[in-house]
Amino acid sequence: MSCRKASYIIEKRWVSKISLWEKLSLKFHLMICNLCRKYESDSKILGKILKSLNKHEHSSHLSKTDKDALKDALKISE
Amino acid sequence: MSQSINISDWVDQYADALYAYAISRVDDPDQAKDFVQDTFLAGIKSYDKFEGKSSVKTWLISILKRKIIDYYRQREARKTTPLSHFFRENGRKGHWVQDMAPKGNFAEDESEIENEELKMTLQSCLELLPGKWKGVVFDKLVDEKDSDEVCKEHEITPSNLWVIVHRAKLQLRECLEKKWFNA
Repeated sequence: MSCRKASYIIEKRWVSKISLWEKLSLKFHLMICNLCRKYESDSKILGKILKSLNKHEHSSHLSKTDKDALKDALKISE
Repeated sequence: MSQSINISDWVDQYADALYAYAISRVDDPDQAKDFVQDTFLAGIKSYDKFEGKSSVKTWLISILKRKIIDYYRQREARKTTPLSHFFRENGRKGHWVQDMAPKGNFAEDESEIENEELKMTLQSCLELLPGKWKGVVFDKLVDEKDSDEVCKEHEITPSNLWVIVHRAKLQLRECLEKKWFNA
């Protein structure tokens, strides 16, 4: 198995079920590949940080200041 | 240039609707405001071609839609890092390119996961992803929505989802390593 495939299965495993074959070949690859073990470790932490992000909720309206700025910008360019 | 447009009236009547549409698709207030302004400018310029078949609002929204599509099209092409950036295509095919080899040092800062600056750095890395990937990453990896639901919402297959998650995580890991862990 290549590192490209191994990293793919590592990511697939976080979001979906993987087959027994994928599980075993990944396990074997990780036994012999130090870099992919590091990738797996980084990826796990990255996943945790992603989960800790809260999607920003933006207001769906423009403020009066925004609208005035918009009017000015449009009038200047007219 | 048509004389019949009152710009202030246009802004008062349509700016909120345009902005609401834009912000629901770009998740970036400044970018959304730019879209609204560009849309008005295009509307003012081409108002004499407006045939009145639809309402002005519908017509402006259609201009905005095209602008958003173009914007994403340009970004998609620019922001997708090819797999050959990470993995070798000759010699030891599929092995890590030397400079891209993960250092595995994220775990050293595991206690800092709640660090606001770290989160902001990751947020800035997320902004660099293609628009479509960003939506998928938010839904699946941030909000942890069910995979079937994410696929349905973004009109992708499960294998599309795995590919996007893989490619996005490769890019995010590299970005975060450069901007945070090696900084």
